[in-house]
Amino acid sequence: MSNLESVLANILPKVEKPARYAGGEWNQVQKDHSSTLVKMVLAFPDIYEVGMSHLGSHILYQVVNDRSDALLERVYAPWADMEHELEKAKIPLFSLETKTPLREFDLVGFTLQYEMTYTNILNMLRLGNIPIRAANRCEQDPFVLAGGPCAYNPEPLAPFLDFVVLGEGEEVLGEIIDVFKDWKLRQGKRRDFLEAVARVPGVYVPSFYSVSYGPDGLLKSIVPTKSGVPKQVKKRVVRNLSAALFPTHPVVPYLDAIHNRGMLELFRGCARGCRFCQAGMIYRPVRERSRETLLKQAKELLGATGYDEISLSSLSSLDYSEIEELIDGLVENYGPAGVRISLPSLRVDSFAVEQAQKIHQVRRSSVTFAPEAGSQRLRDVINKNVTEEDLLVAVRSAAEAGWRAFKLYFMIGLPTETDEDVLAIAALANKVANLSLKSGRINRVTVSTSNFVPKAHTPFQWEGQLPREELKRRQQLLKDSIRGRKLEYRWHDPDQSFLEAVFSKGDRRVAAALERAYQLGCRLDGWNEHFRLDLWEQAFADTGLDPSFYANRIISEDEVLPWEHLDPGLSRSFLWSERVRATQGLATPDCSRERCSACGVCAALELPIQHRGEGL
Amino acid sequence: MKIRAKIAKGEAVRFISHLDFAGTLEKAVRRAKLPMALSGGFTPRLKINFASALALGFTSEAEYADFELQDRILVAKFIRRLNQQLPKGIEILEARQVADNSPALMAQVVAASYRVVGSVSVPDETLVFSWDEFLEQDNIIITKTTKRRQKQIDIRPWILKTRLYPRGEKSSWDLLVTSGQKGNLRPEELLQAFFAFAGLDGEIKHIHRTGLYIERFGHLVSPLARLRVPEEVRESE
Repeated sequence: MSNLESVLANILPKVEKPARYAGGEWNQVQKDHSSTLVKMVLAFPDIYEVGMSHLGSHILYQVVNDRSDALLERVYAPWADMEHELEKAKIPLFSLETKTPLREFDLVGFTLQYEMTYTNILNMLRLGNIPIRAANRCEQDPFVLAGGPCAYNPEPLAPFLDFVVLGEGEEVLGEIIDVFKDWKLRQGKRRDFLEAVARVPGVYVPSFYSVSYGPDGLLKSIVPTKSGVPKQVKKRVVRNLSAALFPTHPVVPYLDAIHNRGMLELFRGCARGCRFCQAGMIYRPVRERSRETLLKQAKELLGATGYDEISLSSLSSLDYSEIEELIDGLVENYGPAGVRISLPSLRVDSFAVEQAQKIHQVRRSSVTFAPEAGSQRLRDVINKNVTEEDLLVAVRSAAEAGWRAFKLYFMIGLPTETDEDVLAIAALANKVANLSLKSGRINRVTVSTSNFVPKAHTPFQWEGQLPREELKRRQQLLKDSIRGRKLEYRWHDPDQSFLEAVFSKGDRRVAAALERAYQLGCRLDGWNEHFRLDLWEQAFADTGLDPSFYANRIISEDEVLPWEHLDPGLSRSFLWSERVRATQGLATPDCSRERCSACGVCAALELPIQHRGEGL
Repeated sequence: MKIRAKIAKGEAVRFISHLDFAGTLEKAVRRAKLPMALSGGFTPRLKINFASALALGFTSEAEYADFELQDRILVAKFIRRLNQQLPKGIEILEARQVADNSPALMAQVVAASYRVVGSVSVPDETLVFSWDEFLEQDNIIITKTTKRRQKQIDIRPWILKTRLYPRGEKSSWDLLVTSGQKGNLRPEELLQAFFAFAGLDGEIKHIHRTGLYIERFGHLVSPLARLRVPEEVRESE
């Protein structure tokens, strides 16, 4: 037993869920460090259970470990008890596979899934003995990179990251490893590698760009400071999803992960065009996997993991062009063996209910629909092309099929929202609860509201979030109007949403507040029991930043956006026209089924414009 | 058919809870494509029943479980195929077929044996003396906290057999204690009671389960023991 392992044996009995840090799971890949040229660790800045449920991590794990010249290990954010024990025992944060301290890897890659994990990134760097700021890292320190959805505006993290990957990681990571290998064999300087990697399409090196601000505090320009560095970094995507690698033998967690099941990825992207939805914009275009590929992958996945449940995970899985045939095939192959099939959420229509019924999701759980807004007017604003009638029909067929409990998801504070729109949520929930049914019964209707957070690269990127007091007032308004024994109301903390807005629209100046908050002890901000608004307020005050400048201000059309130099392929004019259409209540159809809405992505990425199911 | 197996839970998996240990075995059984029997209902489950839950952090060379299969399979093949699919640290050590109607293992277990490694701050002679003195008591009362209720229990009758190996920092105990539904003594409770009694600074380093026992004709035997009626019983019948 190595020294670290014997210390661990003393520490682990003292922490909650020690299996989070033990590793050794089925399908884990352990490679010899001395004979492997490129050593990378995938750092998920949240706890193990959350990270193990992330499909993208499993993909990258297999992509890198399939190479003979590279290895990829895993590390997750330690829970507060483990952080305390690590510090007490003076042992650095280590990878699960070989218990190697973070510092000893060549590349430390963070995935940015949501803004509330940012302090965890700084904390994991510190616990791994890596200098927090990229500028302070020296020749023997690892390179710290990041990717994932929040990488489309990584500016609040810019000083802490050596480089950022835009788009689908499996498409780029191989090239990065090749560049690194080359550089390592040449024994180059740190700066040489950054210059080389900046030339890989999809790679953004923040330190090679200079940002200037006007006297009014507004962003003036973001320009490359080196030749050969692109003015705008364009994202990378997998062109043929059927041919792309899929993790058919992912690590099987011992601990019940949030999704303790196999994941099947039917397609990437979603073109429904909901105007608030960042995923629906940045993951375009829609690319499907063929049904044969999926059935084959399901077989391999179940054979290699032993899961008794397989989830169809994509943005709106029922939009898959051959969803009926796929579900029928899976039910036929695995139903008798007791393998369940699950859908993460249901589209608001009766077809969705039929499919859910087919996989016996009835009685297993409640059914969730997301109308997002209470009134038709506001649903038109956000381009959620669902009518009240659609919802009532879907609920009725679900109730008659045997479901008793319903969850309805809405957003509060959407652009143009009025009190009438808020009250319409309660009215709609009431209608659902009191539907007249031929058979079945509705026992419970749970209304959940999240708070609108304007996101970069969406038509609402120019919008400001409502002040927290106003969000709280509207929540109260809804609370007061949701009455009835079947109805229940749940809401999201506006303080957390406010912070999320600051980071989703923040520029490089926000980094100072982030670093200060982390110094003050902010961690695990996405967990209510750890979120400390008072410390965050102090951090903003200490660094002289006004958070509402980022979260609440409406940005004018001619302003330079902090993410202007990062390009998911969407044209600015498309996003702006969508914003205008929103105020006019005009619908924009799903381009994966109807006409092209000229968002610019296919042209920018040189992909053919195709409907779903074409070219499979 | 029903197969009863003896399973090891080693160092590599000692921090996995019993529930996750059970889930790991279920997944391994599925990967091994064993012809398992399924329960009915909306969420069919594999029919695997464990003898006893092992506390998180313990290792064991004597976990037992019954596996119900819908088709017959050679026991040796069952062991081989399952072991190929088990992660490091978990191993089927032994197995045999038992009667389909054999009662649930959990209800049959009456005793468990452990090896406990601990460090104590007193000379070995003192340790031996205190341990003997501790065991010579007629009653050993401990306080058990169960569901917000505190209960005083005499654990002396539950200590069946012990052996101490005094080695200072690396002292160890072999303990045979009552376990199961008629009384359950956890090894750490016993040692803590002893440390308190002797007023010494003790720390438990490691607990390893060495056996689980069921009762047959007044004897403690392994759940895998083949039933052979002892002569004295046969004569009296």
